Amino acid sequence: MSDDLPEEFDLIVIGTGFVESCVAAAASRIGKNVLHIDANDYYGDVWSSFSLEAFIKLLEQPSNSLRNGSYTWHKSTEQEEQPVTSWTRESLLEKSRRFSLDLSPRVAYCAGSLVQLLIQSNICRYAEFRSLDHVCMLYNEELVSVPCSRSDVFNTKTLTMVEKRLLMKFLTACNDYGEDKCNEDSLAFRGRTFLEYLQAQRVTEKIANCVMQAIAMCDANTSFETGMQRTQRFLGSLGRYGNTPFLFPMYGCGELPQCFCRLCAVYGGIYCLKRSVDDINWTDSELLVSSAGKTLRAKHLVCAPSQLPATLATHFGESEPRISRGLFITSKPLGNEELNKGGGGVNLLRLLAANGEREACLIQLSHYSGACPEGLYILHLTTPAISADPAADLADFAAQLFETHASQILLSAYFTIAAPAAEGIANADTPILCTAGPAYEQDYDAAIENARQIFSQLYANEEFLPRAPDPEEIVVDGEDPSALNEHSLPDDLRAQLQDLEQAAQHMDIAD
Amino acid sequence: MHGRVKVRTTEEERERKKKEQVLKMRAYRAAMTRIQKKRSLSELDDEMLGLTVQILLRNPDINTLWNIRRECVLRKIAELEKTIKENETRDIQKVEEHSEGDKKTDDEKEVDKKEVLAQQLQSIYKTELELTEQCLMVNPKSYNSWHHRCWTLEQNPEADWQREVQLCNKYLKYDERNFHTWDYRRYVSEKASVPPEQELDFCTDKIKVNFSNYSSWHHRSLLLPTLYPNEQQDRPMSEHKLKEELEMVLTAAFTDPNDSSAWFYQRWLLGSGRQSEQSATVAAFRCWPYKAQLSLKSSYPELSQLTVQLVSEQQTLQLQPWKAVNSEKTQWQCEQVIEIEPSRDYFLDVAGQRKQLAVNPNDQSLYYFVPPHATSSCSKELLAELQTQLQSCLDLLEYEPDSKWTLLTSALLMRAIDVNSYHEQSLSHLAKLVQVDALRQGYYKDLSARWTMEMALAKWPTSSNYPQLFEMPTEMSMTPYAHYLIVADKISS
Amino acid sequence: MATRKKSLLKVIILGDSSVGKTSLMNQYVNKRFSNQYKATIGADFCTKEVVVNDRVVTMQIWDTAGQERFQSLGVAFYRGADCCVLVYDVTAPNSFKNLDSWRDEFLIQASPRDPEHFPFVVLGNKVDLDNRQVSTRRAQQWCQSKNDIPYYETSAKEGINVEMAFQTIAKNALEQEAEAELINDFPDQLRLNSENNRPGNADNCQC
Repeated sequence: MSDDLPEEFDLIVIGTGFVESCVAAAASRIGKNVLHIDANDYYGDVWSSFSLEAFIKLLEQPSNSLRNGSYTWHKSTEQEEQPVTSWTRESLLEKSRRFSLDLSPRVAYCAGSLVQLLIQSNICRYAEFRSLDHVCMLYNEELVSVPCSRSDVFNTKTLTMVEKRLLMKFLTACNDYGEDKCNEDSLAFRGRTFLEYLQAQRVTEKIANCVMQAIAMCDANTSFETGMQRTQRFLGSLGRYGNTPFLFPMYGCGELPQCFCRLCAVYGGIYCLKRSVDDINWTDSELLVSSAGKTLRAKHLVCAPSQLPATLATHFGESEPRISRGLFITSKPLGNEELNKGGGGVNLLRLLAANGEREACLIQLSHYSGACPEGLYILHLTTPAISADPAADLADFAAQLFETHASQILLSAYFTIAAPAAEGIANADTPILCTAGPAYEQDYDAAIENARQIFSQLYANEEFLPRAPDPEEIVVDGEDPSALNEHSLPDDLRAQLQDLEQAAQHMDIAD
Repeated sequence: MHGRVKVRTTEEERERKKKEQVLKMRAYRAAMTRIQKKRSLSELDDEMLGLTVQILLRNPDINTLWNIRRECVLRKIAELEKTIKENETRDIQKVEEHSEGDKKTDDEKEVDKKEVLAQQLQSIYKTELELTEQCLMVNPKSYNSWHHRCWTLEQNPEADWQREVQLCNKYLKYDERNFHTWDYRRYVSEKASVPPEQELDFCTDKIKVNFSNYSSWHHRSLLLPTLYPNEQQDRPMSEHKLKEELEMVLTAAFTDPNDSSAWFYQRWLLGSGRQSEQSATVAAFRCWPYKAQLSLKSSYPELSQLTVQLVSEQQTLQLQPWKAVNSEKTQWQCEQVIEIEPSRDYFLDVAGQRKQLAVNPNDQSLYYFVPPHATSSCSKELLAELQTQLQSCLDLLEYEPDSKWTLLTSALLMRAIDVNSYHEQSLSHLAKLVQVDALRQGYYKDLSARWTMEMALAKWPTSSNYPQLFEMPTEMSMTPYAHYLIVADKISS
Repeated sequence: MATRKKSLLKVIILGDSSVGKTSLMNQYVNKRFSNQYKATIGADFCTKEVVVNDRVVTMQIWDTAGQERFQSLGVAFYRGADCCVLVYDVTAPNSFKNLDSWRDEFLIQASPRDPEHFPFVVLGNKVDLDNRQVSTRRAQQWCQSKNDIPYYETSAKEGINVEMAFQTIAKNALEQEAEAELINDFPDQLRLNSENNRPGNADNCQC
């Protein structure tokens, strides 16, 4: 079959991770002839989601970008108390395909960069999302929901009546902040920290915690401006979809690169999975990709660091641990019933290490996310890597979660996502444009920025992912663009019209 | 260029839309003409039903078409019922003709046939319900669609009201503030005999989702008095429940002081309940030998319909007829010769309420007077809750001394706790409100006048000049409760 | 609304490259046929209002966008399908043989709740051509063996049987969707461009 693969392209993109897929879609969208290949038999590279079986297999086969994999099956410890749900390794594997286990899970702000890009480009038509149920925080070692919306504040039992008023007032002030440029606060707190600002607002300790931990996602050193910006980002994402400011893609984040790939394909991009690259060479005017006995030629080439041929990898510097990941499958969700109504919530929790210097992000997924079977929960734990031992990097956070909050972990897995350092990629002396691996962040800001920047390097004056017209808006060649035949009417109206015209004709004859 | 797609320009798009519109109009007119033709020929058949669907799905608010559908449906039902009757008579004949042996199979056939006909009947109703459902998708506030739905259900003795309640659940999930749906919900939940407890829970859930919801608070205010009745009838519901409700609504108000729906509900809670009192409650009465005057707490449409009697040991005198003295219909007068013997005990009977009358030492007239809003004492539990709430408001005023909402709420709470001791303070809150909320100063001044007058009237019976002289409080911009003053001979200002 | 969800049906078309998937979709939705369509460019999905059992539903027909050419259809394509149309070319025996693997692929990737009863429809396309290689009987047999899949022989070029086939597709998809709604797998899925997601009012902090 691969014999009829064309050999000349404007752009070859290697790897179908988020950033590569973004670039491929953007190039194809402006009419470039794109070949998009991936050595794997799945889309998404280190941004993909896997069935349980495939995930375990992946951990057993370390690669340059995914390493230090380990996993442990646990026996249910409270079986006597809960005889009804006795999940075993076998019963989990039986449902293997009901899992979508993400390597790089993350939530998106409802008005954040990802959502904006999806809407602006009209790629949103390929994706579905689930609104997060709760944004949580640990308060006095207890997992509590942070009130996000007005109705949350109304319903929460964690705040007193006066606290409710104070929180609402504080958030309203943050929301309005900046509208008036000469705001007194902005002058008074310039150069100081957000925490200082917060303390000056006469809020209670609990409110300060809500704001610092969950809403502004700050630490003690975060500047006033940054904190304010983050608070506004949070608030600006409220009231759009669902009750919290966050979305999670249905069936996992691995769906997202595929949405971009579809757009690329719709605009003529050619897709080839299971196609590895043996070598890349170049001349002054073009790049030559040797793959499966063929030489493919392109004016430009974008490649994921994970898929660089060994001969070239050194140009971009050594891959280093970037992100330490923990993934747990459990039969009991974290937190109380309130946080897990109707079979479990899709929840977000930002954790701080004991010394306050490091942070981790926890995403709990229930079956409502489409990413796991009913009755089970996936806990994704993510922190910036500080060593080659993901379990050690995450130990502090895992302890906060699991020591005080009894859970029923059935499988725990750890792995590291590695990529060359940004400087290495920037300084490489090749015409190959290498993408950055996943970074530790909420939303996709850095990833989208990376794609944008590569795109503008390739096509300086072109628009990045302008809105793709809906199918109805597209005109087929040779057609009068404003033409409209009866066919564009809905079936029943069209039938009606025809019937009547016939009837009218008959009447004419009769008369 | 490769991969580029051609998209219509806005000009072309507009042109296309125009053409589409023309075509749609043509189809619409064609259908309407056909419908009118058929109607004039009384062809109320399936084709007619089909024609109306096309138009209604796009514009559900053409009442004529719904009327036509109803005509069609009624005819279809009539025809079906006729068939059922015919079958029955035929079957009876058959039974007479046939031998015993065949009868069993005939019976079975008959059952089948009946079932088929019953199903046909149900499917007629189902079609109508489905159509309205689809129309409500187009316009959830379509009066005609809601009405047609009610009509269809009323026609069907086997209507599934439970399903209708579920439908409301779904509709209210998409728009929890659609008052059409709330109205419809009250209608169907009564038909489906949904327990009021369950309705209340539903209401609570909706308020949790979004408390800016007049419909939902209103629904609540209708359910609570029956679910948690208050025996003395001086509060809207039992004190225990009232305490919970007050807490909930204050929480809403603290969360968003600008939300007026919570507000209205709170005023209702702090009120005396029974706003729409139908019985006439006597506020003041006075009678002289030649006439009688009667003032009521609230307006009554026609006092002459009630039996008003002046009762003494010796005789019972009917007072008739009554003429309203003021436009609010709270003050009435009856011109009649009345014999008064001051040494006797007199009573006034108004529709069964008996009041003892006193004698005015000045002119020997008989009178009765009770001040408005006699303070009702509340239980310790409720009092504690009110005090907690007042404290929360006062705490908040420390942070936000100009908060309009908090100023007014605390004033209302004070009066609910103890009118006498908080009188001055509650008035000072109103005075402050006149300053900080100039837009509504009329309202605050009015309220202030009412409270002042209430206090003056409450104190009046204990004053030495009672009932001859009423001293009007100072700085009254208006005089509410003027009709209470029929008892006084003189009003000083 | 109660029936809001039901009114959008997702139908996906599968089959080997150049069996006429895009042409069938175009013939059905736009009443057009062009021999020029080589690989599928710009073909995404088409929507069409159809009347099934007296109700208007919107059918969304999803093309493979050419990603099947090198066996590179991602799992995302299969999500939430209400009906799967399998197409082969009656003049290309291989495309018929591959129906098996397309059906299997669908069942694995989409993993529908009730694979036994998931609605498929098989279309034998290009019956207008002379060099037919797959007999009707053979195709019918295969369809029967797979739980009686409805089978139509079509010509996207001549418009033969296309309308009828898609009516069946819509009808079967609607039934599937009706069942799916009862189970109500994942409530509250959101589409970002849709107006329906808003909670009915601005329930946010902007007091």
